Amino acid sequence: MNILKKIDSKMTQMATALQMAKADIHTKASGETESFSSRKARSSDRILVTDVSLGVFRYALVNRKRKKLDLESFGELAKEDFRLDSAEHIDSRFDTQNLLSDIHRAGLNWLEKNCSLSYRKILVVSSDIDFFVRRLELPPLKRGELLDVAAWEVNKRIPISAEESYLVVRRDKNQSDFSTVTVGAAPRWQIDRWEYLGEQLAGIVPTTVSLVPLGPEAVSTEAVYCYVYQTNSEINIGFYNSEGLQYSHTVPSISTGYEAGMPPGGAGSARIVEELTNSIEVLYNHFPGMKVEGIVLLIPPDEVPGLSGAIAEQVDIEIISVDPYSGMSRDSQELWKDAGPEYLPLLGAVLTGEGDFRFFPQSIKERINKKRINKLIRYVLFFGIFIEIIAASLWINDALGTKSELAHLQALKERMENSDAYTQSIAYQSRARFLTALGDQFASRSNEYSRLLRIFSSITPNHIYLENVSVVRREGKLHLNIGGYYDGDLSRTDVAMMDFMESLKSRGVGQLKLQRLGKKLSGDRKTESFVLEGKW
Amino acid sequence: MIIFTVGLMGYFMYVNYKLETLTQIYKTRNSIETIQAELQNSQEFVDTFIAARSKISGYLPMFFPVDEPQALIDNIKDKAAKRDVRLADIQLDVPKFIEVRKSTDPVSIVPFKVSFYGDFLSLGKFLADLEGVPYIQTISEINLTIQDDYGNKLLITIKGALRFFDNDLIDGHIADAT
Repeated sequence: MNILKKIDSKMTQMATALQMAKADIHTKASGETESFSSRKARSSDRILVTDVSLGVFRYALVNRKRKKLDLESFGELAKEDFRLDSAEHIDSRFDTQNLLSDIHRAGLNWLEKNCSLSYRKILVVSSDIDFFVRRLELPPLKRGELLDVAAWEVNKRIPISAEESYLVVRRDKNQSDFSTVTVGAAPRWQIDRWEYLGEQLAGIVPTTVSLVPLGPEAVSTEAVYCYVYQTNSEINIGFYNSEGLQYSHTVPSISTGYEAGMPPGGAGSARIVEELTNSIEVLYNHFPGMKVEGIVLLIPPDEVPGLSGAIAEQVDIEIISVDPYSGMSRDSQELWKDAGPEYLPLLGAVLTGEGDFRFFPQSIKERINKKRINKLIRYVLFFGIFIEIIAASLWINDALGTKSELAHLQALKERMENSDAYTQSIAYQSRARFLTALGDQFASRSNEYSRLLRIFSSITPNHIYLENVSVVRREGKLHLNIGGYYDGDLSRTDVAMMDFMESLKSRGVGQLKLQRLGKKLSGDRKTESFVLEGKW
Repeated sequence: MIIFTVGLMGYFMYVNYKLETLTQIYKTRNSIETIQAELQNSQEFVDTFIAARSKISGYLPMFFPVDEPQALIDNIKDKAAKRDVRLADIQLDVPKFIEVRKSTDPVSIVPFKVSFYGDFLSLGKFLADLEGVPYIQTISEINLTIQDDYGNKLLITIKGALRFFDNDLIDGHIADAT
């Protein structure tokens, strides 16, 4: 029953919203009827941000240009645009779990058929997510261990099972002994219902998170910031600490008051101040220990003049006026203001980064990661080819340079070789070498043979007679062959031969070999022939 | 992987080409430096040439061209006569002699064998004389024996190589060589 009531409630809200003008669509430079289909728009930088928080399909087409956000189109879709005009149809087509995503799907179809918007990614803002944020202090962990430990820790502190949730872990502070991480958790089924968006999905941002980028960052669970913004129909007051939205208060706005141009501090601001002080009181009563550090006014000053002053008179809390449109071009600022504060969650969602609490169905994340890897591989390949082309051109250039240098040197060498000076120099060099060598040959003298003869004449002992002497040069040495005989005292024979051989040795004749050929004795005389060989 | 492989092959081809070219550049630079050094030393070559030429000129009276072997033989005989040594026999290597006569080489080497007779001391001095003349290129063998046929004198047989030299052929020979 509760579920059916919820559907009824949502559809009632949607129907209310759809009472607005049919396909209340605005484009940049509001009032112009420029067709996006006719514009050669680049879809790569455009993000379609959608919000079905109150059953109304609300969208904004945002273009990132040089770190600035341009709002190019926004709008809300009326009931008839969804073709949800019968209760039977609603019951048969939408189940309880997929109600929002089916409205979303129908909204996208309508946009595709009627507006031909060009975009690359779709960012979904949804209030129908049971989102929890917890800040944890963990011991230093490796990246792989962090998710498991964070899941185990956060499981004890959130009312849903961490195993059935998607967790986004953000490492806030790293110190030597601990790290501070913020863990965001959302039930899987509430995220998986957006799976049909495929790789176009840029993430699913809970509405409670979407406003955070517009204000200051809360750094603890005790320090709370109060966000105040209003739409055409309601005043929203939300209290955020480092773990996200803690408490919110929404009341109908008295739109007729401030739209009629109430004076500063008039009824419009008085109503907001009243609701604000009440809400702060409720917070302090129900959340002991929390302290409101600042009031973040997301209401442009010209919308409720004197609001800051009126709040300052009632509460002693710092008022932080934030211009949520400051990061946009002038045209876009006007367009955002035209859109109204209902679009602030869409703007805030765009400002969240991928490291913030954007959720993805697991299958989409895997596909996106796979696509990223493929893209990375393509980039690497392309980069490799690029580097090789550069390297090849450098090599060729270098090689040509080297070749050119070689050709230059060879030409220089040829010129030098053919020059008259060098030719003459070479001719003189050759002549000089030849004549010098010839002169050295002519001057070369050897008196070895005559010296040998002189040696023989001086050392041959008495009673030894030389009959023939042969000296032949072989292998750089003079080979001696001396034939002769001894004729003398029998007792002196050996002594004489020994004297002769010793004398030869002392003059450098080596390897002496004596051969006695025959002897003849006559009384005390002896005649003995010999052959003596040696080398000198 | 294919791109990487192709790139790597290209790189090695480039390195190979580069090394070859650099080697050629290195060699060419060395040649140029040698040429430069030779050009700087050209005056030194001229001076060396003049000195060598002068030295050769000093030897010219002691040489005989290959066309005039008889003059050489006469010169040997004269030297022998001065030492009281008599020529017994002289032989040239005829085939070699014919060959070198056709050559344009200014220096011609012809093997020879010559025999003289005389007493031991005269032959020794004569042998020293022969060793001192530039037209005897080398003596490879001597043989000394007592010969009754020559009045109980000693006969010395000398084997070696004669050097003929024609100064007029030097310039042509150097031109051919360079």
